[in-house]
Amino acid sequence: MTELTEPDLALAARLLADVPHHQRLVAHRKRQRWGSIPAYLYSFGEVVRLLQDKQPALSWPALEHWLRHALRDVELADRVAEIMAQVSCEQGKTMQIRVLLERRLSQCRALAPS
Amino acid sequence: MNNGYAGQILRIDLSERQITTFPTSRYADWVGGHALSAAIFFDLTRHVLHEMQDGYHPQNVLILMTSPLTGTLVPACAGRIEVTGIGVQSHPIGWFTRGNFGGRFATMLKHAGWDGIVIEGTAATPVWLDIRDQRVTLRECQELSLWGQDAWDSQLTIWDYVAGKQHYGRWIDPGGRVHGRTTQRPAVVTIGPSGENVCRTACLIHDASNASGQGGFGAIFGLKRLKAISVIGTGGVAVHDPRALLEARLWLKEKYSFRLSDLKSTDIELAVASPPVPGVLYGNWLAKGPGDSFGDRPTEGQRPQACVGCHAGCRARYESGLGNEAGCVETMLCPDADSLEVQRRATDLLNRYALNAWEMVFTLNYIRNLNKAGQLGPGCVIDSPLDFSDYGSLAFVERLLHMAGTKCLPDGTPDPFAEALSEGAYRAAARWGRLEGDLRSGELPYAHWGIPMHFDPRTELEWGYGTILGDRDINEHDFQNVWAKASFADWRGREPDVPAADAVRIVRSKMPPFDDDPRILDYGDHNMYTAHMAKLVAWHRYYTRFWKLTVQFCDWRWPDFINIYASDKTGCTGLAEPRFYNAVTGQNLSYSQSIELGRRIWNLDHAIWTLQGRHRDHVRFADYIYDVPAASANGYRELFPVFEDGQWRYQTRFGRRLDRDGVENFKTEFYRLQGWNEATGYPKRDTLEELEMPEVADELGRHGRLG
Ligand code: SF4
Repeated sequence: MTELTEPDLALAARLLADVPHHQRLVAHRKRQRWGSIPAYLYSFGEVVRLLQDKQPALSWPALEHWLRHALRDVELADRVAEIMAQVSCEQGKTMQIRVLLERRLSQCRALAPS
Repeated sequence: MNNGYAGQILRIDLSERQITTFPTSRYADWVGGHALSAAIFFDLTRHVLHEMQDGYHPQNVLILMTSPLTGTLVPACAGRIEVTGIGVQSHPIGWFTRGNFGGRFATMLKHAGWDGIVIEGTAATPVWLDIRDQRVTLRECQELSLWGQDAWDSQLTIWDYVAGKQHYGRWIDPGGRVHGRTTQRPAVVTIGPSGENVCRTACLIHDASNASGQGGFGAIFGLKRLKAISVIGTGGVAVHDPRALLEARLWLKEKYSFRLSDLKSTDIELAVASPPVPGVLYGNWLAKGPGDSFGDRPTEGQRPQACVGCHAGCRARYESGLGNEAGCVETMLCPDADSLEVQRRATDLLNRYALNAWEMVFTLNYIRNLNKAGQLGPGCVIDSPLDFSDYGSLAFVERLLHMAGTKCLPDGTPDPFAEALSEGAYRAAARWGRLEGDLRSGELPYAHWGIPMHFDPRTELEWGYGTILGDRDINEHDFQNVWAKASFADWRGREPDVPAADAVRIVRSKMPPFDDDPRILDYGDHNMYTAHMAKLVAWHRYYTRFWKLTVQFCDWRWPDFINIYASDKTGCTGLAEPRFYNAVTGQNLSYSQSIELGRRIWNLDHAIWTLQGRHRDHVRFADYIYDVPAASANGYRELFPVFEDGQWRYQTRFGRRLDRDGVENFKTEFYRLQGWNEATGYPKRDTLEELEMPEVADELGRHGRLG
């Protein structure tokens, strides 16, 4: 996987901040026996944490749209779109998108550690 | 008696401080657990049921009841107890409802010589019940300063009082039976601060994390001023045919259980999903190490822990001592928490306050969304002192649970927002004038009876219908577990172990008397409101009413429909349950007869709800189920069997919503199948008499509620 380019400070700040209520992402944490617990995601960090869950459920097109338009991280959105197109297995997609987003989060935290 | 029963039931009148007993055989027809409780409940309350709109009614009766299989070797069954009474959680009427918990309590009660406990009246001052074999005493809480203690401290206090502080392994003579000794501590079920403060979100807690969650029974204990029930028993349970029981257990292990040397799947959850299941094998496939595991059991430093007699050990105890015995939604209060440690401490706090975990998870989501929307917070439309700036920290969780469990601010000041929290999000929304709008949009995902949605009624049809036709979130995973196996395979990018057509054939073969209906398991859009769907929902009500609620087979392991270890992948359900039951009781119950008994129990429950005021018009979903499509998602996707173009396939049902007229059509089909009046939903005399319940028909007739 090619490395993500370093985000600038403005992008890092956007990714580390919360989005307003109307831009939240709605996802679910799923379990065979627990069922489906809604997850309302207000930040990029919360999305990463959802993807670290055992069985997350999130619309990939919605995620891509959110990255592109709410967070304005075009490169990340493009890379998510690539994974969506190239990987067929949902678990594989989840893992690859998770790793990608974790990398971006680390980049942002390194830039703006506060 | 060599039939699994202790033979007697305790009757506690808290108002009169009177302790009496009656023989279990008086209700021999009703087997145990839920059925026996419902029959007793009906007898004790039939004259006032029509005015019991809520569990706070002074004549509400709470019943804890075991089954004849309790305390035996029957796997994933022997350690559970049913709790029954009018609840305070459902809306608009607090229905006659139920809960259930595992651990040691049920077995200890049998070992003390009791099949169940019936609790009536209200104590003048807070008391606890001390059962030591046949010696039963109501004690003042005051002497131990018990009232005011959380759900863990109160258990420790009672342990020390009853058993002393000596180390485990030393013999204890609890003093209720000649020569009776044990090395065990008493089993205690108790309320925490939330119950004492009569919060609708209060539950009962036993040991670390066994909870009777739904219904708000913690509030009923609190209202009755009953803090706890402690039981220590030194006897045993006599079974009819011990050899047959052991042979049944060995047969299950031989034919239907995993072998570590021969796992049938690389997916560990699938590989071990057939009984028995050692919880220790559960792990988080994404966890990279401690602190990185979210929403699942930590895999480090744990050992499995089980209800008495259960081979599954679905829960764990940890070397850190945090998050012990929690294995369900109580671990999910804070998936966004700063660390795994905070998540586990949050779980422990839920147990200490004895709050309903599912309700608190949804309440927290709801108020956080309102906070983010600028509607809730200091000086907002909903003026709330709860500070969200440290959301995700332990301090935040502590404040939240303190407020919800005490109706007060952390400094002890009574607070209207805290009071609203203690009622649960549904009633809080009503106080804040948001209920209708938020149910319409789905912002408040409480699909039925004012209770949070569990599986989505728009997709998991039998779950939603079962819930609106009953009294609570059914929490019965029977079919869901089967379809989940296909969903897991889809998630992993693999073909399912059992194709849809074979899965439907196998499951249907275990659904008498409807096993001849080829469409009974079709979740397609064309089958949502049909007579086939009515049969699926009805069968589910019957099976669970008998085997799970009455005989106490654990929902987490039963039924065994599909089993990848069986030679033809056909699970043991239908064979195993009667085999175990008959070995213990000496009866000769067939599987078909058991389903018919389930129908009888279901009809008794329905009659009780009807006496409380249930009418066909009550039976509906919240507006968003009809108006908002079910969310589509990638990642883990739930699949269902659908019959289309002459073939069975697994498909997702995203984007579906229910149609109001369609649901009405379904109800008509269901009532017709039940022999209930199609216009009102009231039971008909013929139906009740066929089920040998003429006295129930008489009572309904007296109140003009016969169909
Ligand atoms: S499966 Fe778990 S909850 Fe059920 S009886 Fe066994 S240990 Fe208890």
